[in-house]
Amino acid sequence: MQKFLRDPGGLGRGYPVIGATSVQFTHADPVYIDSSGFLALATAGGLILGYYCGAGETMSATNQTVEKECPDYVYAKDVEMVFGADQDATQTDIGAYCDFGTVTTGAFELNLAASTSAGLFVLGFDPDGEADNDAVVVMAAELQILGYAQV
Amino acid sequence: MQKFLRDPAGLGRGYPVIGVASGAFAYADPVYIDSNGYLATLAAATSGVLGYYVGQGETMASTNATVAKKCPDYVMAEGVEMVFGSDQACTQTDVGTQCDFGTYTSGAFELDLAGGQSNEVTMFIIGFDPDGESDTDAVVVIAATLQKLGYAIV
Repeated sequence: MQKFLRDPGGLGRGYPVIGATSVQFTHADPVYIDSSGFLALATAGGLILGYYCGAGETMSATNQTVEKECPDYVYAKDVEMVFGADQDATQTDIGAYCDFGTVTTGAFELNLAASTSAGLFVLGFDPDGEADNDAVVVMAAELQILGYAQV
Repeated sequence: MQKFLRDPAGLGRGYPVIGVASGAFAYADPVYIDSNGYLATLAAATSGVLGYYVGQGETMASTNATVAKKCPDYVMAEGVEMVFGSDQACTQTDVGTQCDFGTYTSGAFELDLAGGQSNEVTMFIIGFDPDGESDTDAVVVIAATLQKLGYAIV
């Protein structure tokens, strides 16, 4: 499970960046700009630029040179997201940091058991009050737009 | 003295976090999430500011963590200009530098401009005497070490 906690419709779109060749994007995927300058899915432990907010699409094999399609995304700063986790969140997870254990389009999953980096800040869990404790509310904590060193 | 420099009413509230048991919150208190996952007023040697309390002032019940589960209202700290009193008059050379708090008391947080600690990067000073009253120990600051960010604190 992955979704925006609030409607991202009112958020300004990020500056257009050409999507990386053959990459599939699903709604609410975390994205970053890869070392070649193309928009791609965030990596485990990597920096986050924003979140894909389109309906879902796959870049063609020639996208970087021919179609040059730029997937829609919003910047990650201050955007509350909900992702599934590898285990139930507990109160002591709130205020802590974690990263992703799974970085598959449409199925990004937080690694609460054994995170090794601080890419996301945990704000809460079970946001809909459904006793769904592995639905975790997070904000990006290591933003690609900022120039600080990762821990 | 502690206050928002500008009306915070237009700022969105932070995501609800249960207040720490018996925690007292006063308007404009800096807050963070403690190691147990509860919202608390900022303490010395903590890992950064999450936001500022914006309620009328309240004290959590001793059972708040397990029974009432009240979540104090706060706004996220980033970019919010605050005014705090300080331990000495602020001078122009303080502007553009960082400091931390010397007093961590609800309703009476006070900046430590005199220094002495090794890690004084909690707040960034952008001015003083904001009302032009020659009240030079009224210091305008922005949180410089944000708990929501995962970078190493220098």
